[in-house]
Amino acid sequence: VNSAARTISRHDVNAWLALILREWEVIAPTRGAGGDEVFAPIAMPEDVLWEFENPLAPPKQFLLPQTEPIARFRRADGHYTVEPAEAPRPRVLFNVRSCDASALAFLRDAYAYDLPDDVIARRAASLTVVTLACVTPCPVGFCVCSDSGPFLHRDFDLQLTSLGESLFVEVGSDKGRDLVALAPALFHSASDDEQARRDSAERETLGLLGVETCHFGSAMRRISTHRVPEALWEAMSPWCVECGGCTHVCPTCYCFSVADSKETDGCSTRCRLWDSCQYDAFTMEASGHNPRAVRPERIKRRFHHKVSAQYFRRDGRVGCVGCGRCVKVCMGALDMPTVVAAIRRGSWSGVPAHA
Amino acid sequence: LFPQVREHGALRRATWDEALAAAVLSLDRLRSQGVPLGVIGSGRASNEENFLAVALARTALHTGTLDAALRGCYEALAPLARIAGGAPHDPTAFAQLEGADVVVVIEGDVATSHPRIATSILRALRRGSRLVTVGWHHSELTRLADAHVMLGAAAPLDALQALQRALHEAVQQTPGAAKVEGVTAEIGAAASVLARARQAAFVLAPFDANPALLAAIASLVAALTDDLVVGGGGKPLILPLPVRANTRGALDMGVTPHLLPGRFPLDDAGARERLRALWGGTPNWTAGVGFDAMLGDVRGLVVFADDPAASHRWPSHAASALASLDALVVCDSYVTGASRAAHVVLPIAAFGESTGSVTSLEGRVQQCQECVVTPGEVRAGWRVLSDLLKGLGATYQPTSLDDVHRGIQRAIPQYAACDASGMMRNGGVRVGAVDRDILPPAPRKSQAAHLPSVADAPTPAGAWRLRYEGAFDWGDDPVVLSSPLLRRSTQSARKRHPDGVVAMNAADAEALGVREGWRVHLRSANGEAEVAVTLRPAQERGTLFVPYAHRERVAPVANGAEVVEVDVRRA
Repeated sequence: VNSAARTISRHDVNAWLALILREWEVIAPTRGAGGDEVFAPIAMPEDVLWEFENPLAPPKQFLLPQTEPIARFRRADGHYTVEPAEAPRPRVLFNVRSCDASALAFLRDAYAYDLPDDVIARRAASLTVVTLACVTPCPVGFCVCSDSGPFLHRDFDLQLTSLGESLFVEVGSDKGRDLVALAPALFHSASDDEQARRDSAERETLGLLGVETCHFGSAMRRISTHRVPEALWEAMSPWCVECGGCTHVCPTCYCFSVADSKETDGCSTRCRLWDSCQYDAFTMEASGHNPRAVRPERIKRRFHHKVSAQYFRRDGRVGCVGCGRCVKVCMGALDMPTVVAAIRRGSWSGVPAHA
Repeated sequence: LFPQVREHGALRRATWDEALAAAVLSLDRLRSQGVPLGVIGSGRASNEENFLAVALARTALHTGTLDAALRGCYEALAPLARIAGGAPHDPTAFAQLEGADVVVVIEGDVATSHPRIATSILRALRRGSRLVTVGWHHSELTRLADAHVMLGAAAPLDALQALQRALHEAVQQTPGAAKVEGVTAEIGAAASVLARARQAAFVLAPFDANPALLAAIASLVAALTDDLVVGGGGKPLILPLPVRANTRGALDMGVTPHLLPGRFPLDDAGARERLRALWGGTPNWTAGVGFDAMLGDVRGLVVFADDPAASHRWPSHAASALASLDALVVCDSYVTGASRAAHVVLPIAAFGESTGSVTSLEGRVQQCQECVVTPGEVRAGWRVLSDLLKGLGATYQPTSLDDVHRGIQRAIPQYAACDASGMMRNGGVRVGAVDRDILPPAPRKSQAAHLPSVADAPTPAGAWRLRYEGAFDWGDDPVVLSSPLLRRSTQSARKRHPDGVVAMNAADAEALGVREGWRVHLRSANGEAEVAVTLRPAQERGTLFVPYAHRERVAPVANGAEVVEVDVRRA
């Protein structure tokens, strides 16, 4: 038995959440204004959803906001002063799925290499991630292909697994331990039987996901050994309508643009905004040269970026966490499973792998 | 997010009372002077807002000069719509399109202008459907097509007429033995694909700004579909695509200079009686000036949820015309060229910020609910228009959105059944197809020959033509500009070509000695311009096509004409 593992009764969860809400802003899957299931701040424990389809918009925005002020310029007396962005608020992301938690860790690391980004690092440090392990595979997810689910073995502060009447709680970090410490009386050490039920749930879910059908590794080898024919990207190109939807719902996409917004009081704010590598001017250089002016080049870049072994060699991560959102949102046919299947086969039919 | 009024040449923040008073004062002064006034409604606004815009024009401002941008394009294509279904749960146009075995797309680039339709086309192709694209050049979809029918700038109808003749011959032959002689290979291939169609679908994008050309194409499509039925196929789906989502609703509400709400003729006694009973007073029943001529005709203008320059062939001319008006009142949710030139800016709620109904092409009236709080001092559009009606002394002064809606139910018989619960149902309330007897009929082939075009005269050998393509410009639409998720193709294209671009056949470029991105000098009888070229492997030789987003740059050369002869040399 994992000695740090705990259980908490379902009846006590709301009392624990109420204590968390006293100290932190809590983001959880909840019902939005139009009735959709979304990640949003909750006001009371009852707002949290426990049975939900993973929202189409991932919790990425709470680490990498869609529009993020990074500095503010103020002009006074003929001088400019630069003020840094406001310090991030401590937040708890609650009931996040395993794929999304892996993606948050991926983003944190992506912004920590080369030139570490202090804004993202501070925000990542102020986030506590509580995951809800998946005991039922979602219809289009393939997290098992990229080692980011259905259960996690890293990248969480707390991992909850439903055992029916109670939740199995695994502590992954000091931040997680702090949450449990808010209400120690509500938690009990997990028994051998509870640990066995948790392990059995993981095995059963893995079985349902069908590990044997995973081709991600094969596609990664082909890309990283330059064995993908150029004609493949050409053939895929007309099947994309360049809506950018895949990049905007992708929990690991982190490309951005920078824009200044002028305000009336002589101040201006420099913002980082999500952008998409699928848009044709994304890589345009100041000289006017655009290394990826045609769509096949942009599609190639996207999948080289996500599927190649570059992250795997660095820290064992994959650029895709298998959440399946691109499957839901793609207006053409260029979602990850379809493209991975095409890379592995070396040919393109235009027919989705999951059809 | 707050009202503004122009003072000493600059817009300044104002209270609602100040801004409404300023709008009323300036319009009232022009009204009392008897100078021409106009109102522009919009397919971006709800039915209720458009209905009030019509009431504002015909009752408060006593003018029949009211219109919506690109109405002509829509009216040329809309009567052709043929979408099956009568009950809310019948297959939608999307489902029918995805079920077609042959899809014909007459497009600019549907993947850019109407990506949701492109998705349905791709789904049909995945199921094994065959595709024919028709247009000025190969689009992205052409790469997946079985055949492409290339339109020439000189005689755009020729290729389609040849296709119709070829199809006609093919269906007269033994079914399945569709071998067509005497036409180009591409037209033969397209006819051969079409002749085998059991359930075809035609998608008509507003790929050109000339309503006469669109109407002529519509009549040719009608002839093609007749032949398909003769050939044993089912009745094809015909899906004209509007430029703005609620264009049908705006026109049903009467945002047109020559028809009353409900698309009744101006002299229809019954329609007049119903409107008089609702509006009171003495409405203006005369035909006014349409959108294209309005900017040169009126001295005062109320623009509701649109920017006239965004769909004008020479945007900067439209902007100067707006700036020279004696009164310009702009009600919009976005900052546009029109709002920057306005004397009074009245900020109104956008889609999702206010409740209102919209009508689809197939005649489904559905209610869009307010689902987010309006930001700043923004007010619902119906309320702003109602305040203007009140300020200008109109007898029709609805006090609630329901009040406006009940008015529509009373004034427009087709909308009588559109109660709130029906419009909230999945599929909404059906008001039926556009009445073909009321809309101007699409010209038949004999009329179609008279298209405004220099192409009627044979072009001397070696001369070039310059032609605008497309009536649809995503990049000019403030909804697109304000949405990070929609800032895509045109926005990127402008970033890539900040000084404009024209498209040239790659073989022409080689002959002229220019490459991708190089600049050419254009000179016509009207003026000159220098612009970069982008190369296309497949488009008519001897013609330079101007993507609509880049029309401003070459506007001095074209001077408003659709096609002009130009001299081209390397800059």
